[in-house]
Amino acid sequence: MNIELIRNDPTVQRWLKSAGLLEEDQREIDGHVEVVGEYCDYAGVTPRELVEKCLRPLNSDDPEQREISLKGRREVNTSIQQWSDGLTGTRFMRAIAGNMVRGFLVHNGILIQGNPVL
Amino acid sequence: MEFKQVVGNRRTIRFFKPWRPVEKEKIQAILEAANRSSRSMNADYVKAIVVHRDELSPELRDSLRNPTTTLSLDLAPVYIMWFINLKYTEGTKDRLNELVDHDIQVASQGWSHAYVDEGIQKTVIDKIEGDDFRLNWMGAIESGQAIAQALLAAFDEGLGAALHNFADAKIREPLGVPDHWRRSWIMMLGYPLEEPEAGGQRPRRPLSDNFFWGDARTPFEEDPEVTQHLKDEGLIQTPSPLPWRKAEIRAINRMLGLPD
Repeated sequence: MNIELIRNDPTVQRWLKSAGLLEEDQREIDGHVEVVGEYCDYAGVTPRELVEKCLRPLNSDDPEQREISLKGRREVNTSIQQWSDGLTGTRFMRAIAGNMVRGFLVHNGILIQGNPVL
Repeated sequence: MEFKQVVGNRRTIRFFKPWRPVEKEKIQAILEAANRSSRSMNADYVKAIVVHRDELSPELRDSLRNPTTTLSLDLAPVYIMWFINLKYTEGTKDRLNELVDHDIQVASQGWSHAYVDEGIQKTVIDKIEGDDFRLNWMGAIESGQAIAQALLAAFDEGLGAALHNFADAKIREPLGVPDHWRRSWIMMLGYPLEEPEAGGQRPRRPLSDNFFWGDARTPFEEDPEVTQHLKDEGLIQTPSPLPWRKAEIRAINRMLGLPD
């Protein structure tokens, strides 16, 4: 994972800004970016490609017009769950990691809800 | 609780205390409120199944999920699944004759056993049953009234509640849902984890935007004194955004490990 590449990705910047994370200290920001980076490594995608996997073209004439892909979002959500379940650490920490990736998607326009730690 | 206060307190609760069960007597009060709703033909338009989250198998609970209900399904300890009974015209004549017997439907307003027995089938029941749009339209309106009363009753009981869409395909057979029960909303029920203000009363347009006086061109004019009275009585409350809302949401997210 190239942390600089991840951090500078426009989707990551959008997330950090929208979630108010840029107001946090640098270590906190880096921690968030690293989590998304680790998941992207696991899934073999860039952050932008991760967002794209949750979208599909609205019609074939205009590929720029897109909507959320129910199938794509479901697959990504399952993949995030599998990834976070396989992490080391407590159940709480694993869940937070998964939800952090979901938060990245949320702030990029993908309606996806987090799994609470109960 | 006073009626105006209950109406003012109602808002969609999105974070429930997952660990706190809901007392059965409160659920009964909610169902009875629905049972007392206004309904044409004294018909039973609404059906409901009360389900405890922890008594549903994980597979069935997952099957209810859609993108906007996922979190509430995990947090709310009780769900009430509401359905529209599309066979609500069954038994209409018996129910209406009962109202005639009880002097509720009376001759001065045109009601008689003769009309119920001989006239109502063709003039009312056949028209409803023969028109899917009308059948569903009436069912939705009358069910909605029952659900709205149940919703207010939940807040009157000190609970929080929210209505959501839900996926019902996989629960119908295991829960024995008849084919003629059409899915309506699922009501999430529980004690609010968030403050009861839940961020403040939602922004609403002024009465003059949607309500009219005499004709559809003359907006209703509010009397400021009445508005103040309604504020004093709790019907109109502090609107969102509340200054501490972001911090509240962040704290809840941290508590449950949710994304900010």
